[in-house]
Amino acid sequence: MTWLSRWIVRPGAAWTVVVLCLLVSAAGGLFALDVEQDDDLLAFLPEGNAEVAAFREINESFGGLDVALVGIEADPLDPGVFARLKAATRALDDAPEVERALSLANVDDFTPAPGGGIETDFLVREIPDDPAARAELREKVFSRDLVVGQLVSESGGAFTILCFASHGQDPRDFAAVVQSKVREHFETETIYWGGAPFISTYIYSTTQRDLRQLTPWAVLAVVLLVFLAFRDVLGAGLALVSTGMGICVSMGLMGALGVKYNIVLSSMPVILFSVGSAYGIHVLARFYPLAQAMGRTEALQQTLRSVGPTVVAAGLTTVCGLLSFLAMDIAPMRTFGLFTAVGIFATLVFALTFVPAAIVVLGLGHRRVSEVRVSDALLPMVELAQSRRIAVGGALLALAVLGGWYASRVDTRMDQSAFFAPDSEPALADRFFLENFGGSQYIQVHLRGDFEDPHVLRELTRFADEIAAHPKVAGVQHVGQVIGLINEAMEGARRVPDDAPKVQLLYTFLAGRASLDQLVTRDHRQAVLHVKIGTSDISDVGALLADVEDLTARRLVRGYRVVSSADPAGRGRLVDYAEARLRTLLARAGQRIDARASAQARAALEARPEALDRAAVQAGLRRFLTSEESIVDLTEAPERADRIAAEVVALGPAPASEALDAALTRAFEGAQTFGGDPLSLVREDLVMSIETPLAELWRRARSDARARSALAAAGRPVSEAEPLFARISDELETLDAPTALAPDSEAPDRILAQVNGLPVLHRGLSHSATRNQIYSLAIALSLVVVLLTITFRSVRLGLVAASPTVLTLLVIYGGMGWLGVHLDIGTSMLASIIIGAGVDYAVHLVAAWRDHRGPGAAAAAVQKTGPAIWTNALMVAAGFFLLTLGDARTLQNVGGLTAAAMLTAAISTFLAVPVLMARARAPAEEPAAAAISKDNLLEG
Amino acid sequence: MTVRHLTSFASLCLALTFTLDARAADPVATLEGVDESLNRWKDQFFSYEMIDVTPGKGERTLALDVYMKGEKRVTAFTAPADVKNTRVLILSDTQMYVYLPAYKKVRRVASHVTAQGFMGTAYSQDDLAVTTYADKYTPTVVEEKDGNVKLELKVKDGKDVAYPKVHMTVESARKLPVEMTYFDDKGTKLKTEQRTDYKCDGDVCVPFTMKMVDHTSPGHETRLVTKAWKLDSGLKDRIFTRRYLQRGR
Repeated sequence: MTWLSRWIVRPGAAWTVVVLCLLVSAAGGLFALDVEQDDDLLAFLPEGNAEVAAFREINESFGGLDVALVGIEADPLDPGVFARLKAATRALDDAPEVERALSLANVDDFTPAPGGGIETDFLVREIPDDPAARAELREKVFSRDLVVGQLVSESGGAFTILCFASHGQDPRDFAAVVQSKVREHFETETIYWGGAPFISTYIYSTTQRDLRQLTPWAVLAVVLLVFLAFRDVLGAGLALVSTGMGICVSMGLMGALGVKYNIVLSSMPVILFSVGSAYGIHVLARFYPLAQAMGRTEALQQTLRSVGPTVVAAGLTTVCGLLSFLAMDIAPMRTFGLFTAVGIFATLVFALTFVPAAIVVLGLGHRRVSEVRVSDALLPMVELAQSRRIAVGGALLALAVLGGWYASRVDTRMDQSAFFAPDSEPALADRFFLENFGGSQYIQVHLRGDFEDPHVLRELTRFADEIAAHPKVAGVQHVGQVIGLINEAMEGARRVPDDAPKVQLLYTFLAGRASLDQLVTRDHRQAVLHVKIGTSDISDVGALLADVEDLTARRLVRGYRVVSSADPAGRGRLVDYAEARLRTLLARAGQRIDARASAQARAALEARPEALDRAAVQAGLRRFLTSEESIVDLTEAPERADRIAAEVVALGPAPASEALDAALTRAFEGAQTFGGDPLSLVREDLVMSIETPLAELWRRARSDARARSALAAAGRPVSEAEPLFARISDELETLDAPTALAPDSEAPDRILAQVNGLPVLHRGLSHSATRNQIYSLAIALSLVVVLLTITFRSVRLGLVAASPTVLTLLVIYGGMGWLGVHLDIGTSMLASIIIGAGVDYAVHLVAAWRDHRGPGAAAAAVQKTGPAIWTNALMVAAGFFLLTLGDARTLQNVGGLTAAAMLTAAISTFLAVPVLMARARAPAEEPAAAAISKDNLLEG
Repeated sequence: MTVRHLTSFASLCLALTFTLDARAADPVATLEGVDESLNRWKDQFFSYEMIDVTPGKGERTLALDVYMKGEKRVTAFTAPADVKNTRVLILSDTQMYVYLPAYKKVRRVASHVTAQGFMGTAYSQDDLAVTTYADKYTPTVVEEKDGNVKLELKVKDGKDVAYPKVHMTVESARKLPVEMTYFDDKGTKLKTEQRTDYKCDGDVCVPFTMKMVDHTSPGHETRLVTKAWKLDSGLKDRIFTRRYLQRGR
């Protein structure tokens, strides 16, 4: 510092420094123009965390974060609303940003066709004018269980549009397009925006908007406070320019290294202006009064020698605090710590080079000094701390213990509330979806296995039923349901088909459906089971997550072998499956059965079905024969169809081919040809044509019989005319599957499962926040103590100077525990900022105290540094406090707590340091003046 | 008059010829010519390879044989294994029968949802079915260039079509469509289909490469490459029956 003070006062050197500094800053400014914005909020997910890594992988494979949910409060079956829904869905579907939009206006449906087979159409094509027809349509819509609760609320007063983003689409652009297209058609309705694209857009936009709007005010507040306290426009201006140059260097370095600017870095100007501008001011504040006494050159040399080391120490402690961010496992946070530290360091360097060089170049000398009176409150406080050292020390210790106790109650909780307030758009949307659609948050169970294997699909379905029985689960979605639904179109029963070729074929028909891509990968080797969380209570969510993890660990079969359904193990598994399906379907229909009833139903399912309804089989076969699906056209020969059906059904299930041929011969007795074809060909055609339908009809008769007995045993008789009976019968057909899965603990794991989803991500983020907090706190505190020890060349003084910060940390974290503020991704930044910025006050006070020594040292040090410390504390507090005025929850927490911490650090400094420094005695003069001026205003 | 002047004069005459030709183009006659050129056959057999590219999901290839006679069409899938032997008989816009080998039965499907992608490809059932335009659209000439005429087709009142507006570029000499861009009622570009690599047997020409780009799903496109083509080979009516569908012969 001595060498620098001698060299920089030379005019040539001063010019060189000024020009160099300006060139470096200008170059930085130019490179800064190349800095790109990184909008990816996923970059904030911690690295090296298995749960977070799995969350990323699942979302990359299944695109769970690419689904936007639009909720609208209106009756979708109102003709006017439906017309607009149709137009909005079409507009969304046609937008390149949207891969697929799905709503009640374009969801497919199929119904049995009058001439046989199925008829596919949109579930709602248009709203009829006739009230009776409209009521019929409403009934049809509300009979579709995969639509109700997904696309239309159970009350019918709200509906959703699901929008899937195109591949690689920026979430914010996607969200903007969806909002614009929907608003175009629904101008007056209340619209709720749910799903990851809207949530991430909200977090990003709110934070960005708050920073954009509040940063100028925060900087202005800092500048005003500097002017008010310092009352020197030129000096304050020079200090602010040097801070701006520091920002240019930091940003320029980012540009040169290709580092992207992230949302946390947006707060850098507030930190640099509030913390960094003090360094230049320290230099000027010391220079002006000295220049009055000894001339510019000598005054400048004296200034740098006296104030330089303290400013360097204060600056380096802040740099250390910020560098502790490098220990965090979140890349953007590390970038923030590193480049804000670079900015602080550059500002510090400019304060000690550019500012004195500018003084020489501009020929600045003594300036008129404004007198500022020391607050009357400060000295008595310090004197009290000195005179009642034990009492004050004890009180501070008690405060520290109390703070520590409350701090131990601070829990790490990362959930939605960490990012937005209860009355914010995403929170309102969350409530809307919870009330009308059972929720919009999901736990995901990620599974690996062969999802073309019907045994695996059945196990997935059975497992999903177990989860669906949980009282806090609003619903479960999985690929087994979709396969079952399409199988219904092909086979007439909504269930998983019996063999892999059927499943493979169904997948082919579903290819390209965005909704299927959310459930299974295209190679059908990975699937996700989406568990809709039916609660917003964070404790309930935690309990549910634990239960789902427990069920996954205990109840999902991993190793298995495929056995004949006659094998007891396989038979048992089929009955397990049928029982689970029966229980789930009854529960979904509001007829939940208890364990005893379920056991009785199971016993009925295990028994051989009795009293098959042959008449139903015969009627079914007749219907088939006269339909357009039979390859022998009997539409014009119903009597012949009757006869064939009667003869064939009389043979019973699975007739031998000879018996069947004989039965058909009887049915055509006397005829040689039919429809112009020889009878042998017709019989061959009929055998081929009725083989599958006949088997299906007998199977149905058995499942109907089982459904009747199981429902009776469970005490829930259901009329066969009700759709619920048909649904149950559909599923009970599985009991006739030829093969089954038998659990085998000896076999290698063929189904692998991992629970994931937002609650797991939040848990991973919580672990990360705790880890980051511990690491950064330990590193920052250690570095600062070491640095202070070196600065003061005393371990004791180093610890004394660090003590107010430790007390501040305990008070602030204790306050968080008391007020119920959680540790999250934002508040985990606090410790490093508090240590980095807050320790400066003690550095200045201890340095001044050490310089004066003796009994009057305390008063002298306080008089010399008090106003400076308070001014700086107020600057930082004001800057950060303004951040609380926005909507971004993270900024509110960080801003408010940092503001409180800076004021606490200042108070702690004037209480803790006098208590701990009291033993340091050496002869020295009592300071005389209570009045201070610019020479000691911001002195260090 | 120098050689240079002569050349310029010749160029001017040539340009004028094209301009006069453009003015002379009759859009209705051109579109009717397209319909006529597309329907000069009695029956056709195609063997196609269908390659679908979906961003983020990779490439998928299907192989299929198509038998056509009048309005009737049978499509038999030959690869990959999961769809092999699946056969589809289309008798009209909404009358369709599907034979599912895994289920061993014919399923009748009366579909009213024909605008969606066919098995996840960029082609919809509508795209594959339309063979006449003049009865559904009113054409106007947009431009004539390089031997092609670009028509704008607007749907006629009362006609039910998948795309209300189409831009069709027609090779003037043979009246063959080489590119079609499909729009919705608001003028948003939905898809672009290119038909190239035409091969002719007598006066019947078919594109051996077709490509459909779906603009509503960036990066999604499907190519249809003709591997074999037989014209008027006397396909029997029995091919277009449910019996054939079930038996495969």
